[in-house]
Amino acid sequence: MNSEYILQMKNVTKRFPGVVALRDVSISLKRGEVMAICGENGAGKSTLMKILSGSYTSKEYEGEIWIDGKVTDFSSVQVAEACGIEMVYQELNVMLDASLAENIYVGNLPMKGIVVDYKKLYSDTAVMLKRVGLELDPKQRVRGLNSGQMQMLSIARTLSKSPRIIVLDEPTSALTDKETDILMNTIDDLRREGVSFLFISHKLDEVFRIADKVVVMRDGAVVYENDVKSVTEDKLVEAMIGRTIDNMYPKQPAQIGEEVLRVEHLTVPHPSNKGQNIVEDISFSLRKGEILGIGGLVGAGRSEVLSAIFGYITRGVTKDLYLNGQKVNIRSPLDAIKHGMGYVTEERKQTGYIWVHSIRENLTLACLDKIFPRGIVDKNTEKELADQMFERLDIKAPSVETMLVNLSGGNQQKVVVGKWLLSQPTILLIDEPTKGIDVGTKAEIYKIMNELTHSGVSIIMVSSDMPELVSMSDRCLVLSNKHITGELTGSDITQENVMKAAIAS
Amino acid sequence: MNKENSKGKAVFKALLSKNELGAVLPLALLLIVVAFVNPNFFSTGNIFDILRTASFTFIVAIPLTFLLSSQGMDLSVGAATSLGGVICGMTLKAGVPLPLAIVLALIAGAAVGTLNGILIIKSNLPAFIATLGTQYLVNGIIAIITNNLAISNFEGNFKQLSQYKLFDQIPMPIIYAIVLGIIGQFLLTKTRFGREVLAIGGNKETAYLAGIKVNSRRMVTFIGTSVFASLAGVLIASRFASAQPAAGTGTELSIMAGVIIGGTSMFGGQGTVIGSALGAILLATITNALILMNVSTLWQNAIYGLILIVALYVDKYRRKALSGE
Amino acid sequence: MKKVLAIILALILCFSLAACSSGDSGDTDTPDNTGDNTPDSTNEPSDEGGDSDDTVVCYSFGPMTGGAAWGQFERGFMTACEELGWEGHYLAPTADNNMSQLFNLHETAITNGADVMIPLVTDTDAMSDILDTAVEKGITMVGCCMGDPHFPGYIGTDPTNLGYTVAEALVQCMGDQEIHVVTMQTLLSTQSQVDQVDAFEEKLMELRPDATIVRREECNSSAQTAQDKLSAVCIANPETNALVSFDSYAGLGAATYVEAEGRQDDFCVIGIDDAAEILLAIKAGNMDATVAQMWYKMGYESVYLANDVREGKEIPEYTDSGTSIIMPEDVDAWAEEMGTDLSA
Repeated sequence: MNSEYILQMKNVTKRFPGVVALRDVSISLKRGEVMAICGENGAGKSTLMKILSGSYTSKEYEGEIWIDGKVTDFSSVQVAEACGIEMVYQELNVMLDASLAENIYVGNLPMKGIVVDYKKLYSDTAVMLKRVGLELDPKQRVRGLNSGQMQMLSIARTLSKSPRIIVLDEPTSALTDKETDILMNTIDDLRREGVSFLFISHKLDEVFRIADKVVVMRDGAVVYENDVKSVTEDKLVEAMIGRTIDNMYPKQPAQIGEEVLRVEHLTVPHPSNKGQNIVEDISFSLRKGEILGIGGLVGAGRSEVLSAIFGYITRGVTKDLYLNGQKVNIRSPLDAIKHGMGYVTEERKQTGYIWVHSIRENLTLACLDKIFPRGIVDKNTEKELADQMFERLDIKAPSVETMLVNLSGGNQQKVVVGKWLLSQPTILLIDEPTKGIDVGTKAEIYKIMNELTHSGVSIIMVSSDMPELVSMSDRCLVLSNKHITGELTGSDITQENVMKAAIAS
Repeated sequence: MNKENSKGKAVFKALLSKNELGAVLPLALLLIVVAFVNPNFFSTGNIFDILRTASFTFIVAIPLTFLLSSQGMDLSVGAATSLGGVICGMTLKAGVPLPLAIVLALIAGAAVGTLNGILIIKSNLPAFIATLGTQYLVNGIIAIITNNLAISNFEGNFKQLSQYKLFDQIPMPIIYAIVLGIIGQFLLTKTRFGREVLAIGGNKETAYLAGIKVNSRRMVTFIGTSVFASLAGVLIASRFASAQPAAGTGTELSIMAGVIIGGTSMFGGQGTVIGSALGAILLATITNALILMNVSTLWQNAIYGLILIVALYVDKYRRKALSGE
Repeated sequence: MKKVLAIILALILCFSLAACSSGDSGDTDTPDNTGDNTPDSTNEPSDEGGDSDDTVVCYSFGPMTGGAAWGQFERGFMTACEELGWEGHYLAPTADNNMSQLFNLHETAITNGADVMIPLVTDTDAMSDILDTAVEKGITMVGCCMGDPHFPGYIGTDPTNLGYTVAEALVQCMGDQEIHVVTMQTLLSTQSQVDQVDAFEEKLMELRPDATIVRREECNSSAQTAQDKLSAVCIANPETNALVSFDSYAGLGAATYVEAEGRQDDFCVIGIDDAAEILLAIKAGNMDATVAQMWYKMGYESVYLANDVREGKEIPEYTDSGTSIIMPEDVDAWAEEMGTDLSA
């Protein structure tokens, strides 16, 4: 039977105890079509993915899935694979100590009798690597690749299975612009070969660049659906958050005061290349009430700069720090906190929150002094502080006792930020403040940053999100090739100038 | 779904949120069965017997609860138990007064814990293997200093330490276990130390970035574990008026099993001292109940293993149901 | 503070290592080479040191280092080796009762140029290959505890005899009271102990047809487990009035039970072996008697049996090293003879 549609989901509803994760969702995907799926975190995108991958079996939800115009019973992961559906997840899932070739063809190695046909394996791998723009040796181990390269590797693995439908979940969040270009071209090529895509993304510019059709989800339901040609960015954002936002980046410049922090001669060794430095002898300062943006490409050492200032990385680091003109010695995060610093890291799950602990416990983690006077808990103070922050940040959860594992990425980020607000820092370091979170929460995070600067807190912000960096920074440093290659202020902070400095050497 | 069900469901959910369910459910089942087969089980004497057995396990399980919930692991507790008894016994024989002999035994335990801490925290060796190494090392030292001979025939009232019965009824180890257990539960749930230990177990890096002295807290958990183990060793030696070189051999895994069944997560971040008490009681009850039900000893190990697996399943189901998957 | 602790720890370790090496030298430096041994070890292929050419190297094995029973075995063995001018080695696993390690130790002895071995065959099948190698290399062997076709004879406590003796001891202690007895061994799966318990039951039924066996138990060499289980058994079967142990920790646990419950007059415990704490339990009245195996004799005579084999003499397939019932009135004399210190 020949149908126009390769995939149709018809009236799919998925319930969890107490929550409806997907509400009567129907989508139809044509051959060779790229369909973007947008929505805030918690809108139901990941549930949708799990249904398509067969992780949730057909018994666990209502509704039907049609493949090539025929009802298909998605009773297992194997069925989904047989239909040619492949997933590329946001979290990297690679074997660090296996070769690139083994990573791509794992479970699917070309055989000659009972032994692996390595010649074919490596030549096939070379083809696949070329296709995703990785100029690497197929025999090389994965360890040592940056996260962008690893992401491209997982895409290569997916391509090696010759899928008919590829589901991409935020594929570009770890990619540099150049790698993003390569990915977009690869998608374009495949689309011409008749492969269809579901493209889940927060980045609207990518949606406009690559997608044919766009679907917006909110609270588990499809709320908007249209051809990309006939929508505007405002319209999409409005559909996603269910209200009109006037300005995505509501920067409200604060009164900028005296210098509060001066960093001199900062040198940080490269995390993976032994004997090399990732930044070398850089100096800069931060003023009261200022947001100092740090831009640059992935691997330019931006996160390492923050970690070194905060005392999180110490091995091989040399630095002179002056707080309000006084030289200070910061050898551990504890020292930094005592000097009034806070640090929102990039990797929330690894270094930001404790996923098996409640919102309350996470919020109060950096201000244990306040809630354990003389070492014993003061339950009332703790509850008060946690509740206050819970309300101030409008964290969406049943209560402060909800575990972090049950929150969406955006709400987890709010908790991490809230943790540092409760420690009342005068200097806040923020690495990728809105990575992987939805539009609505983004705006709320910006609002908090504005409030902070207005109350005299100074912020150093590392960001790969160009519009965010440009509009939120009062001043912007750009790192490239171990040094500061640009310092931009006022109207000079533009995407073009940042980019120019970022590729300078 | 139905409204009539909702109340029952709420109760069910509240039950699920209790970490201790993994120990309570099998324990309740066991008690019901044994109540039908042999009501003598509930005689005061027998209950105190079970609690006494559980007490020795529990005293070691208290610090292990902290250790496991900070993502630690210690296979040398059995050896530290033996060491505590042997050091106490040898020093007593050498004429050292009892309080000092106990202190020396605890110091020996602290030395074992310090060694574990240095190996695992400072040198970053894998805890499983490193503490296995300590276990052999300590057992070896014990064999050398005792020539594998039990130390017995103590002067004075050493054996009263464990054998004395309060009100002629309650064996002292139960009292020690209750007191230490209350302190342990208080430390874990009400103090900064407890919160920090749980945070370290939940996510070491996050805890360190929040200004928690991760290494020093972990060191304390390792030392505490060995110190409590050597205390248990002293009490066991007192119970038999004989310090046996192998008194603690083979206990490490079953104590750890008790802690985990009680609801302390092997993956860190969550712990409950009360649960560990229930876990220890469950383990002691199984052996006792099987004899009282006249189940052949040949069956005991199989049933023991089966109940452990059931307890772990209950715990797993509980966590899954809670996280909404 | 941490450094101080680390130093203390290091000192403890150094001390123990020193103790270890001095202990070793005490054991091995003793052979006085008088040359009265028979130097017929020409088929010994792996002689390494020149000094071992005319010294007979003899290995014996036990499940643990030291200990009340095996410590005596080791003493007896070493004394005999010294008398014959042999180089004696006693090998035991690092973890007590680790059987696979025990097998490996036999191989170690073979590769290290043993002339004589006193193997401890805990599992005939598992050790068959190892013993084959020993036979090929012409190593003289005399068994300990268990016999095997690979060697001409063995010395040990006959499990049947031991079981019988325990039954006799029990009957003697119980007089004309009813007998409701629990047996407790190390593990229900230990074959030699199963034989002992079977023999005990057989003999008991013969002597006292009215007696009942309440239960067969195991305690895994833990006095705690023994006491806990005995308490439970007595609640489940209140008529129980005796325990016979085939594991020395079982006896200790039972004696503690008697003491704690104040049942010195109506509960009979028969222990096994003659460790100090067992003898003390008898003196204190918490245990009624113990059946001692003659471990020293076993170790001592095994060496002389091996010497007989080397000299071409026939030895009996089984030599019983004997057992002895120790009643309360015998304790002091026994302790003195064995050199056991019962003073506080």
